[in-house]
Formats: sequence, structure tokens, C-alpha cells
Amino acid sequence: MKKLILAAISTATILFAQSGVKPVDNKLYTKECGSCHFDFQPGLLPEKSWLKMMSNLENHFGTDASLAKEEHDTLVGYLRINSSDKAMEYKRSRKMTQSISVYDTPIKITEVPYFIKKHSEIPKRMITQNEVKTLSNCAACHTTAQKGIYSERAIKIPNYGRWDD
Amino acid sequence: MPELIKMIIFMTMNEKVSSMSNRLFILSPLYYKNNYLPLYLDFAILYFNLNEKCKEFVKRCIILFYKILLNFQYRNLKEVKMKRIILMSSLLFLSANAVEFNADMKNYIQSLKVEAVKENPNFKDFSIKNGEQIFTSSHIGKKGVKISCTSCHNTDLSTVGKNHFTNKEIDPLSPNTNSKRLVDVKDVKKWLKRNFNDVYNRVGTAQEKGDVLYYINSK
Repeated sequence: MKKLILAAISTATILFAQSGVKPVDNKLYTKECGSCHFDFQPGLLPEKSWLKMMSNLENHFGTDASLAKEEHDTLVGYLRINSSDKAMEYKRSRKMTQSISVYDTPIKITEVPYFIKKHSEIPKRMITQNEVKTLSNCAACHTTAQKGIYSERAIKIPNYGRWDD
Repeated sequence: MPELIKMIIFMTMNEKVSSMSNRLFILSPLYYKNNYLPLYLDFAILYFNLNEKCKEFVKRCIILFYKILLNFQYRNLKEVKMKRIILMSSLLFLSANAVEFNADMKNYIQSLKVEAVKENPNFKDFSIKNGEQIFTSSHIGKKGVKISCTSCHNTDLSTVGKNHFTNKEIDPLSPNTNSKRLVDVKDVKKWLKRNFNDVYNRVGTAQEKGDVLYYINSK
């Protein structure tokens, strides 16, 4: 009986679990957030992080990203529903959420422990080069980042090529 | 008008009316202009002295007369309005000197002008040249780094830009190349606020905003 339950759970997780993160499916989000930087999927940070970030858009990592109240509220709503802690069926969302301590509220995706661990072996020169510039430029190396797929197979670092651990 | 003249001739030829020919004057536009009120009284007397056939004819003529008169006045009004519109738009054309802004944007520019006058009573119009200076000069921005608008938007506004900090591509800013630019006032306001803060570390004045909009629009 125990075995049967285990088998059922494992098949359920295989059936419902998704790789990567949920792709962005909000036009306003792509327009407002994606005009300055890669439109990071809401499933890359938990709700508490998004709320903290959205409370200070006037100084958004050194840039003024202020929004009209209407758009601001719509986007906060979208982020809350789709944040990583609400999308635990997606592998990357789950891992990002689980790596963050309950005492921390990182507002940078690049400061999430799981993210740091995954990118720790990359030499600095590959990041600082002109084609990439910063670690937050997901799509520079992750060719399928737009689709929410961050698998190793889809990595292609500019002036270097494929990445193998 | 010939109908009116015809009517007057007809009436003066009529025996009964000829005795009161001086009263026919009331139907002339001159009379209408000078003595508006007695017109009705005088006309009533004249009218009741006419025979049936005449009455019918006069009635028709009067209706026609007023129709013409009203039409004339209406046209006059329209002409005045048109003249005003032409004058205003030609002024706008002269000042914009480039692609015409849409109605919403024109209103926004107008409100900026009103604001600019408040800032500086000697304000005349926005200038493309000042706008270029604002757009191309470098300043210590919000991030503490020396940047200019051209750091992200390039000096050639018809080319695809690149965010200086994130590498994200930016569609051309020139309205001639990218028809989505300078169309949505809400969007324009948003970016003016953000980008003045980013490059100048403060919000722009109405004069500066207008100048820079003129400059972008001329590209």
C-alpha cells in the first residue's frame, strides 16, 4: 500500500511538475518592465520580494521606473498571482523560493541563493563583456529565457559558446 | 437675394401696395440691420393690406429671405471659425517645423507652453536647438554615472538604441522611423519624468520638456 501511494505521488509530480518558470503572459508587464530590461518572469522571485521592489519604483536600482497608479496596481496584482511561491509546480520557481530564508527579502534575482549557486562558476570576463554586461541580462546566454526555460542545453555564452559544468 | 428684389418690384407694382411703398423698405437688409424691432409691426400692417395671392407670395418670399439671411450669417460664422483654426494651426506649424503632433500631443504641448509662461514670463516658444543641447549633453545622472540621452538612444534617433546599463534594445525614438513615438501623452509624460531623473537627476522644467519634444519630433 505504501509503495502504491509513493508511486502515485511520484507519477503525480512527474505529470504536474513543470520545468523552468511560467512564461510572461501579460502585455502590460512586457511593455512596462520589458522596455528597459529583460522581462523577468514573475516566478523568479517570491511575492514578498516583488512587493518590496514595487514599493520603490522611483529608485529602481538607480533608475527612475515610476509608473502611473493604475498600471502600478495592475502589475502588482499580476506579480502577486504569479510569484515564485505561488508557482511551486515549476521547478525553477520552487528552487528559487526554497533557497530564500524566511528572514530575507532579496529584491534582486541575482541575490537569490539558488541563482548565486547556479552562476558561481562563470568567469567574470564572460559576464562583463559588452554582449552581456550584467548577470541580470538573462537572454544574453539563455537562448530560451523568453520562454521561461533556463536549461543548461539552451545556454550559449557570447564569444564562448556552450556551457558545460 | 434676387428673389427679394423681385418681390419688392412685384409689390411696388401692385396698386394697393404702392401707396405704402415706403414701408417696403422694411424688407431691405439695410432696414433689418438698423431697426430690428419695428420690422415685425410694420410688416404686419403691410401684410394685412395685401390680397390673398399677394399674401401667399410674400409669405414664401419672407421665408426665403430669412433662409438666405440665416444661411449668410451661418456661413459668416463658419468663416470666422475657419480663419481662427487656420491661424492657430499655421502658428503651430511654424513653431513645430516638423511632423505634426496629433491632437492629444498638441494639447499637451499647449499645456507645457502655459506652464512655461508661468516659469518665465518672457517665454515665446520651444526650440529645437535647445532640445538638441538637452538631448546630447552629458550629466551625472541618478546612478552617479555620467550619461546623456544619447547613451541609450544614440545620436541618430532613427537607429535602434541600447539601454546603457542593461543592454536591452530600444526601438528608434524618431517619430519618422517609429510611428509609435510621441503619440501617447501618458507614455510621453512617463518617459520624460523617468529619463530626466535618470540623466539630470531631477525632473525637467516645462521649457526643457517642450524643447526636447520639439527636437525629437524634428528627427
